[in-house]
Formats: sequence, structure tokens, C-alpha cells
Amino acid sequence: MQIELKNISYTYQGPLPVAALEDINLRVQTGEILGLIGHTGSGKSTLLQHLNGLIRPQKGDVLVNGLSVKKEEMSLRELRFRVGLVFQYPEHQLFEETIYKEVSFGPKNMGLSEEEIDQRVRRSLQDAGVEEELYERSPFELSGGQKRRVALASILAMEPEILVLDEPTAGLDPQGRKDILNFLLNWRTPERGIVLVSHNMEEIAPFADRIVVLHQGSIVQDGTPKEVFSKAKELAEVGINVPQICFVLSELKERGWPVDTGIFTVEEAAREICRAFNIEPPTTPGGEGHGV
Amino acid sequence: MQPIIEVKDVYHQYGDTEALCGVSLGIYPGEFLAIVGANGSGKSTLARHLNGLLLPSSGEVKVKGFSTQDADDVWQIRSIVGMVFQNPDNQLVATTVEEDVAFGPENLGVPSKEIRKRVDEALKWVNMYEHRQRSPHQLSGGQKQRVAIAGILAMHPEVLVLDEPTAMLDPVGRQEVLEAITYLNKELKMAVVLITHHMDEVVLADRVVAMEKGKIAQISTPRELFSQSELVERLGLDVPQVFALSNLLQDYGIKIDVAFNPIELVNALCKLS
Amino acid sequence: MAFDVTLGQYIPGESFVHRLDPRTKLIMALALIVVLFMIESFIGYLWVAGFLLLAIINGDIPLSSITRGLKPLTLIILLTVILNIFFTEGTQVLWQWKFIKITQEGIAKGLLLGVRLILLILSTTIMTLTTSPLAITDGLEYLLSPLKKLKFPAHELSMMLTIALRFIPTLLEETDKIIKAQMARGADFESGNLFRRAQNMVPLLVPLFVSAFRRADDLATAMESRCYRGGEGRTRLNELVFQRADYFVLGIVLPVLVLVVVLF
Repeated sequence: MQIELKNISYTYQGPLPVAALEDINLRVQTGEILGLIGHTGSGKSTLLQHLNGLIRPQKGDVLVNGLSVKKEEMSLRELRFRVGLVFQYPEHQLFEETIYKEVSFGPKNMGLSEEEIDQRVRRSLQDAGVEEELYERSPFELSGGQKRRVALASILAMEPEILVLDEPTAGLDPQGRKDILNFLLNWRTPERGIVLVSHNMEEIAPFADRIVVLHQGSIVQDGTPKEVFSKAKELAEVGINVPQICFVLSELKERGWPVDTGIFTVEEAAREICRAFNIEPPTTPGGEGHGV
Repeated sequence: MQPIIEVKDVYHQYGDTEALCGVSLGIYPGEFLAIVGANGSGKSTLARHLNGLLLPSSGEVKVKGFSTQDADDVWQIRSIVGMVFQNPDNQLVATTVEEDVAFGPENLGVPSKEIRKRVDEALKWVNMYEHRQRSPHQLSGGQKQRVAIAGILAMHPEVLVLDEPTAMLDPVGRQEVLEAITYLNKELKMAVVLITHHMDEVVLADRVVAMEKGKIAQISTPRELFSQSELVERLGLDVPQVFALSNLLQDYGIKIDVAFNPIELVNALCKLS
Repeated sequence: MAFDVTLGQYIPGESFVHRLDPRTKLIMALALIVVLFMIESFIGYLWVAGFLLLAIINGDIPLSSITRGLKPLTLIILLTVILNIFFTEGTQVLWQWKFIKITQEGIAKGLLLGVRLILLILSTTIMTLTTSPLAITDGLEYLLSPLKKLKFPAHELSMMLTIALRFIPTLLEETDKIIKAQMARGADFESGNLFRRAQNMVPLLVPLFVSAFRRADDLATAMESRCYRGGEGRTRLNELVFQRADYFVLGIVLPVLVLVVVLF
């Protein structure tokens, strides 16, 4: 599956019209993890809602496998099922009496058969790491981290081809953050794609295949993490902080050291610095436990 | 030096679960103390004991000699220990910024003229003075959180306790709030207790309390904490990237001090040659 | 962003009317309402209209805000006028068709009631346009405080109003967000019959209530941490103090209005 935003512009009407997006061209496809970076007010939530059909394009078009949303060759409702959108703090949308019912809400709306719904609910809850003995419990009894898993499962049960997540790790502790990211990495297959919105560069860098930076309604960077993070200075100008390591490397380069700046893991950076200093790094990766 | 807050062997039970088991801690004037630990390790529970929002099942919390268990002293305690919470939206009461900041001193019965002085001063400290007439819902998360801090400062507390104040903010808002906190601690010499999941904030503290399952696992400097990789792993914490990098470089035989700040590391590396 | 509410239609300003104490404006609005119900002649209304016009000019209130205030009630005003024109018994019959007749008295009464309604609405909109919601709740608390002796919760009432004003925009935003989140799960808020639609609101209402309670809980904790313990012993950032202008309005303008009622 491939979704293409073509020349998308969007303005919020009102006493003071606000231009949220300006001439956006972006292609999102299965098999890929796309990291989307942008500050509050950069237009990213408007962009996300274009991807899953919550917003009808005002100007420009959204093409799903070549089918136009504007010409209604692809219905918004169908797009919503094929692209799962997980909002920030998704646990705030929980409403059902039991976790099982909560997760079946989406598949039910799709008009699936009872057996199909049952299969999907169980599969997605299992994938999200929710134990079976909890299925008949109320989602409101769970801890914060568990609630988020259930909310995630409620989208997964619709079996979207592309999963779009807005800050899925917000408010979690470091362990919780790692768990969610690892889960997403495992969920992705050649038939499934992920769009991950995050403020946290260090978190997104090692996961993403591609990084897109949105600033004031326009795309200012689009490339591999290596390409994007090597432009530390340009990113800083639009108020986006690159991972600390990228900063260290590009600062070294600026001061005349022959280092590669497109690196974002601690290991690689250490090796790169050793190389620049003509020191032989140990062959077995040392300093275990200091890792990212 | 006498501590402002003394936590003595405090236990706290929620139903069957022990949220705190025998916590003892002193909080001293002017210090910057960070509290870290996984969710459910008892950080927030501990914070809520510091101003009497929660009372110990056993043990005692004393604030400048007043015990939190003494119902008559609780208002005295809360004006000494101010508390800021996670969700910036849910702490602001009034429909304008300055009315909100005035809320605390109004409750303390401070005379009008003095309230005006305190409100203006507190808003200037957090750099929100020019927004004093605006309505909270027109502000960004970082701005709201700074208003919440000003609301506490206007009560003239001696300790500022912040329970994950940056968890719901974007990087810009986080930076703004951290700058405000640092200013209060360094310039106004206010004692700060910061609960956080962000390790780059922990680095700012003088001392770190690492919590694990309702107990204090260790009290140390941030440097000492992050050097113990096993403990860091066990507590489910992170290590700031630059710290990890400089540690690794040391292991590889480059002779530098462990650094927290990217510039510090770059400078150290450049000095080598 | 789907809901952009500016609460109360307050237009900030520095005019005489703006600077009046909210209590003065509340008293005047109340007095005008009473006066309008007692006046039975056009000349009396002309006096009131002239007075309101002065306030409008002084407060520099744009015509559009006034018409916006009148708009929702246009139908009621028209209906009142028409019903009275057609169904008032009278001697001076101008036109008749079967049992429906238009009399001179009917026209007079219809117009009189129409004007009364318009003036009533004007008196309250002028107050809300020139007074911030916060000042209104403040003024209300002061005016009602004598009732505290009768255990009337004047402070609590005003605190509740303030908090409601503070949180309405937040909850509207939240509503918008939850609607979108549920739509992303295939929820349908638009089609179906009335019963079906009501049922479809559950995925919206439950999270909204849960969130409102969570907010209430958080807010209560935060207020407690800031030493809130009811109205007793509280001071104010802005104490309400009557100025010379207030004494002028209450001492001279108000009696003139009363005189109008007596005379006309």
C-alpha cells in the first residue's frame, strides 16, 4: 500500500484563518518506518489526519494506491480502516466495560463476522502484550502503561496496513518507552508500514528508515536519518535539537576533525571518534551497559 | 545545616500495596534534588508526603518542625512546600494568568497591594509577565506550566516540589520550564525537588534519589548514579547519550573526564591534541 | 481547532462604561429589567433607549456585536409582536378576516412588547460586552455575600462559575479530540435515527466524563496544595472599590430612571 499526499494545503477557517499546511508532497508506504518530526503548531497533526482520512483534502489530493480521495475513488471511511491512527495519549479514548469489548469496537464498526472479530481481538491483545486473564476486566482498572497497550490493541484489531502514531511513548518511563518501540519494530513487516511522530530525536533515530521534518506547515527535510541528522545546524535553525551525539560529531567536524556526522548510536560514535584520533578501538564492542 | 524537610522512616499503604516502605530523607535549603525511578516505584507518593497531601501510615514527615500529621499545621506546611503537578491544564484555576497566580496568596489572606507585588514579581521570575492578562487556554503547555510555577512562587515557599512537570511538554516547553527551574534554584537559592523520567534533567541536580519498589535504592550525585551501569539498568533508567559516549571513549583508552554536556565533551576532546 | 469559542462576548476597553464597577453594572442591568417591565408607554421606552444608546456610544460597542446578541432571539421577538397584533382585543378595528382582526390597540401592544424585549436584551448584552466574565462573577459574589448569613453559598457559587469559565474551552477541545479518535476507530456520529445516534454518543460521552472527573480530581489536589480552604479569610488581588463614577451612576442615573417610571 502506498499513500501519496500531492500538493496538500490546508487552512483552518475562522475569524483568523490559520494556514496549517502549505503544498505538502509526501509518500508513505508499507515496509517502511517513517519518523515525522515537528514542533507543536508545525502542522503535523493536520498532516496525520490527511493520511487516515479524518480530513478531506481542501487543496491538493490524497492518492491511495493511485486512487484519488478527492474524486471519491477511495472513501474516507475505508481509508480510516486501512490506516490506523493512534492519537497522543490514546488511553483517553477508552470507554467500554471490558477490555475485550473495547478492542472489538473497531472491528465491529468494520462490519466483520463474529469469528473474525474474536480472532482479531485476541491476536491484537496478544501482540500488544495484554494477558488473557485481563480480557474481561474493565480497562479503567489498569495501570497507565497497560491502558496504553489496550488502546494500541484497539487500533491494531482493525488490522491496518499503515499504523500512524502520534507520540506513542509520551509520559511513559524509560522502560515503557523501550517496550513500545520494540513492539513497533516487531510489528512492522514488508506488508505493514509505520509513521511515527516524536519529539525525541534520540528515540526515533535508530528506528526510522526515513525522517521527515515539518516546520511551519512545510517539509524542510526528507531523507535517511544519516542524511537528516548530519544537518545539525540547519535543524537547529528551525528549533529542532538533533541527538546529542550528532551535535558532538558535527561540532568536532566544524573544528576540523575528519569525522562522519551521520551517526546516531553511542557505539558508532565512539568508534568514529577513535578513528579520527587514530586510536585502535577494541575489536569486541566494549563498555557494555553504557549503550543507548 | 538543618534540613527544611525531614522524612523519617515513612511507610505508606494503598490498600494491599506498600507504596513506600521505610523512606528516610532530608531536603536542605537551596539544594537541587532529583528523584528518579520506574513508574510505580513510589516517587509521586513520596512527593505527596512532602506537603501533607498524603499522610504516612507510619513514620513522620516534618517541615521546619511542623509535622504533616498535625492538622492545624497543614496550611503552614503547604505555604512552605509548594507543589507543581504533571498536567499543566489541570492546575490553573482562574480565567486570566494574573488572577491565577494570585490564587495562592489570596488563600493565605495576603493584603491586595502585597498580592499585586508578589504576582508581578513571580511572573517576571518565570518570564511570563507580558502574558499576565491572557487566558490560560491561549497559552502553550510550557507557558501554562510556568504560570503554575509562578502561582506557587507567589506564596513565597522555601521548597518547590515538581512532580514530572515536563512529562506532557514538547522540547521547547521543556526547555522553558527547565530554564525557569534552574533560575529559581541558582539565582533565588530556592530548594528544588524534581521528579522526572528525563535523564538530561537529572544531570542538573546536586543529588539524585533513585527509588525502587517503594524504597530508596541510592542517594548520590548524578555522576555517581550514571557510572553504575548495573544499577541504572536494574532501575529501568537511561544514561544521557553524552555521558555514555564519554564513558565508552574512556574505556577505549582516550583520556578524558566523563562529560554530561556535548560542548564539554567536544572541548575535552579538542584539548587532547 | 474545530471549536473556537471566545467566552462571554467581552470586548476589552477603557471607556467610562468599561471602568464602572461590575457591581454597578449588575445593579443597573437588574434595575433596567425591572423598570422595563413597569413602563407601559413609548415615551418611557424612549428614555431607556436613549440611556442605552449613550452607553453603547461611550463603550464604543460595534453594531455587529449587538446584532449578534439579538439574533438568536429574533424569532421570539417577531412571534411576540405578531401574536399580539392579531390577538389583542380592541375597539379600533383596522382590518378583519373571520375571527382574526387587527386593531389599533393590538398594533400598539405588539410594538410595545417588541421594543421591551429588544431593550431587555440590550441592557444585559451591554453589560456582558463591557465587563469581563471574571469581573461579573466577582461582582456577583460581592452582591450576594449578605446572603452568606442565611447560609447561601455565595463564594462557592462564584468559584464554580470561575472554574466553569476556565474549563469550558479545555473541555470543548477535548471533545473535538475524542470525536476524532473514535472516528479513527470507525465510530459514526452522523447517521442513523435518533435512538441509534444517542447510542453512538457513548464512545464520546464516557471518555469525556472520565476526563472531566480526572481533571476535577487533579484540580482539587492542586487547589489544596495552594492552601485553598473555602472563602473564609481570603483576600483579593483586585478588591472591588466603588469609584466616583459608580456613585454618580448609582446616585444620579438610577434615581432618574426610577423617576421615568413614576412619571410615564
